[in-house]
Amino acid sequence: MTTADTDRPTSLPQRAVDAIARRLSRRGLTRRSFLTRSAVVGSALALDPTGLLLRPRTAYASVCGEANEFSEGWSAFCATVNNNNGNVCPSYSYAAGWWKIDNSTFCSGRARYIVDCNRKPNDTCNCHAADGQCDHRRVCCNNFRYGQCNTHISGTTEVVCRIVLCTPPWQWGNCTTTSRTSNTTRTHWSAALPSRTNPTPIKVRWLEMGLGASVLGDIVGSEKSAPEGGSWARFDDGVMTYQPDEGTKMVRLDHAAKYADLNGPAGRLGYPLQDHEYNSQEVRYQYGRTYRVDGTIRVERYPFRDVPADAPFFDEIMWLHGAGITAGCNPPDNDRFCPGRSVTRGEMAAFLVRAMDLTETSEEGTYEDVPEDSVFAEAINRLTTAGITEGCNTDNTKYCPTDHVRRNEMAAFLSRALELTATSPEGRFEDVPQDSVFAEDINRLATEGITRGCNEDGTRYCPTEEITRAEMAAFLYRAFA
Amino acid sequence: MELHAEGMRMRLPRSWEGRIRRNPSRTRSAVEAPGPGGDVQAQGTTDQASGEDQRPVAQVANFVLPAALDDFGAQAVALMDTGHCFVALLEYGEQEAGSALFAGSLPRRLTPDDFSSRQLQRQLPDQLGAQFFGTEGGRAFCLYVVVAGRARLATTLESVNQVLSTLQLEPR
Repeated sequence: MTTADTDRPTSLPQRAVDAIARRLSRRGLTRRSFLTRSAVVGSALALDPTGLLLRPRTAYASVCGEANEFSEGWSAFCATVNNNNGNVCPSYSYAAGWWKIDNSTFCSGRARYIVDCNRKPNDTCNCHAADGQCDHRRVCCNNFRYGQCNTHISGTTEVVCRIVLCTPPWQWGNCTTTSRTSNTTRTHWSAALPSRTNPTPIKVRWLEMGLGASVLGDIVGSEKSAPEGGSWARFDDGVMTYQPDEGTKMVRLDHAAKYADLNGPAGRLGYPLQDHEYNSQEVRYQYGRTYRVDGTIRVERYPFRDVPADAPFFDEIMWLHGAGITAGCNPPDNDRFCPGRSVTRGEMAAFLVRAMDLTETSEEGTYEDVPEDSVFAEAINRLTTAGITEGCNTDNTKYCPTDHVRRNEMAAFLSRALELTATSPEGRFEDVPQDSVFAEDINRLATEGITRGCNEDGTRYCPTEEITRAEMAAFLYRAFA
Repeated sequence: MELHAEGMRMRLPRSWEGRIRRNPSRTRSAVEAPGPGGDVQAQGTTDQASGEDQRPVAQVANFVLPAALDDFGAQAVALMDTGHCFVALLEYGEQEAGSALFAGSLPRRLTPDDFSSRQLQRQLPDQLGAQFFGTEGGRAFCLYVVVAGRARLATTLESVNQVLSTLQLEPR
């Protein structure tokens, strides 16, 4: 194999770029100068490789679509007019109307919306061609109005330029729902806009915020992948994240700088829970928060990777950890709580002993199925010495430490631990028979407000269901916090 | 030929043709694919766009109109030759009716002074346009007229005005 063979590009886009460069070099344009424009060519190839190669038009025309010259009569894109710095109406214009393009891949198969920005009646602008890389359409030339936005402004002025949205205009701004369609304009585009084919959700939201003119400023580098099938990107003045189920969220300014330093959603804080409001001093994430103290952004990390801030019983589990009742479920790292795992009777003993700060042990506190070297032996002994358990069999010789705790047993444990006595008619549940050995303990728990049942309307207790560690945290919080 | 639908009525001279239609609510697609000529169009339709309000559009012309036609007739005006004219009457919603933009009523007679080469959705050589907004019978409308051939404007306007003089808009 020769050196030339080794260097020969093999992919279609590579071969195409090379071939175009050779043709241009015959016209006096070097490969080097051609490659300075390769981003545009690359976009063109991604959009329409065969069209670019087989039809007599330029790469720029493929990016900007049909009728992209002044003489062809259409209005330019605001992203072009704003010097590649904003998908927004220029200050001397206002949203005057909109149309839609059906079934656009740019908007994931939904309609793409175009909003015309017309000159404000008291401002001036002169008709000229846009100075884009390939969008040379008209600026301030066409006196025309679609007429569904800001209809309190009478008359028709020149269209300055047009912006692109995936959000329906009546949700975006002061526009009505009257629909007008122009599928003819489907390919119209600007090199200053993101790729027309399947842009990422982050790119679409950034576009709708105004691109470089948005509060986030320009994008820095490329998007990075993140856990749970998501992604994130840095901007001059913020960070935007995307999760398939939650959509996009943004963090701004110095909170974002700290968050990005911690590797964004791929780091220990996880995804932000909501958009960061400009004046907010705190941003909450799945696994922590950033907050401002004396002008400095500080970070608090929540202890467990499997308990995000929006998880059920988050506050109760945080209390459990803060009170020293649990360190985690995966020693020695202990960065997980295992909230969905069923609680064993051995673990239950450890939790209750720590919650109640029991210290006394006795000879009576031993069981034949609890070895002396068991990590739970001392806790089971203390629980027994305090009279909260007597074992799991009739002659009280066994504790069954690996059995899962059921909700009815939990009621018995807590009722005894708290020495509850009061009962009430409200403490009854339809799935707890009056002659159940646990009926009274369950009633006491409900009467004290430690349980509200297991269904929405509080009519059932689900006595035989195993209790999870997260539910146990809730029980203990209500009982001891 | 008389055109009558959606509360709009007009009589067309010989050699004219037209239609009154209401766009179907288009829907989200299941499959996305590049269309012809670098076009990017999702294939297949099923899911109604949320909340948009489809209103009737009347489109008439003294030449053969293409089957696929945007609301303001972009495909039609690209085919126009000297002496051709295209008229679109588009209804808007209750939200627009009576607003500042839609104040007043629609003209039934146009003069050459109403037309300009700048009053066009898409400026094409030797085409002139006029656009009017108004509210009649509680209904908001936009009237958009394109004529080709400045030299024959007066003659072309005669037939446009003949059509407009028959225009009746039934109250809501």
